Amino acid sequence: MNRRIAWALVGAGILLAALGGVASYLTGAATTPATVESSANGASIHAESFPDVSGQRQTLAQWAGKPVLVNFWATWCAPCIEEIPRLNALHSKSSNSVQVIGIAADSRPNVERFIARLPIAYPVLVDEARAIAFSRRLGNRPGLLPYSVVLDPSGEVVASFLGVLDDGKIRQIESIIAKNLPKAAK
Amino acid sequence: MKRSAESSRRLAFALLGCALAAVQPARANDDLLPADEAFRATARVADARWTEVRFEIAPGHYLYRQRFAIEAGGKRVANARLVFPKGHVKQDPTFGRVETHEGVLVIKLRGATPDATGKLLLGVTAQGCAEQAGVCYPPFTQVFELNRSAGEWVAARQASLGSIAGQSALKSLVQKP
Repeated sequence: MNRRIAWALVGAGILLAALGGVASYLTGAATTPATVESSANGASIHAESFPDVSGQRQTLAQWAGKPVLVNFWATWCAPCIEEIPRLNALHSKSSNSVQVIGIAADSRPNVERFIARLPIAYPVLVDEARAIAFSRRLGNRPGLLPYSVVLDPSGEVVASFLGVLDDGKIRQIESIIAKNLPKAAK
Repeated sequence: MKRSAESSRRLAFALLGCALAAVQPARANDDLLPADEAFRATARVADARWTEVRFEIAPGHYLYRQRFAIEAGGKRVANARLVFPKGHVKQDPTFGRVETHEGVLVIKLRGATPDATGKLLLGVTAQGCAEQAGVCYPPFTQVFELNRSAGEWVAARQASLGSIAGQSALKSLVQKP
């Protein structure tokens, strides 16, 4: 009897691990909300500001009140560029429910030249010196690109993604956004 | 009794295996190497004419040929004084024709002369990616101080300046006495 229970437990464990593996495969290498290692709280994230492409300083607090997808990228990062069309599409499809912003770890002339070739529909902020450090505060421990986080309406990090945002991850982001809409919008 | 103990041991191993399988996705980000481990660099003065910078590039990683920048004594070294081995040329969907290096890469630098105190400071900036993980490392800089002691060149100091933020520090660092 005990052996039966033991093997039932093993079977359940294997099933759970397999389901976890399948879920991980489908959703990519996202870090789940429970394990996001952001060292910043929502208020301190919203207090941050970076110059935009024209040099005007923009504070993240202006996008408080709805979920924000922050995408850290650079013009020298091929996987970052690969995901831009998907971010453009997400921005045009869901701009009422989510604000997409890009923060470039790059120089302003590089970003200006890049945008002239591949337009980016959402706001782009540029800070070559501080972007990677800020992404580390939002849980990007290795400091690599591309890196994206979803902020809830109060600015708390609720999910993070290291690597390319493929279609599966975009779907996962849409689901996370739906769960984090302000109450009035639900 | 013996049979029961064996079952328990099997159960413990099986559950341990399940637990390890379950936590694997969460560890994926931790498995990414820091830049100075993914791209291990050393420098040496080979002879009166040549200085060498050697990169040992971890499997699955590569460095872009076009993104190297080398300074000697605080001044940018012209490409004409650098000799790179032939890399892998590929047509990148984003960047067009690019040349990358994998495995061991030895860059030869011609005519780097030490300062009046017999010290040679080198700053090597590079940038690369991890292919499988689909992520890129921001440009990182390694600084080497090579000293001539009793007729022999020795690597006295080596430092990693990390990524972008560190690069602005390179100039001041290499100008330090």
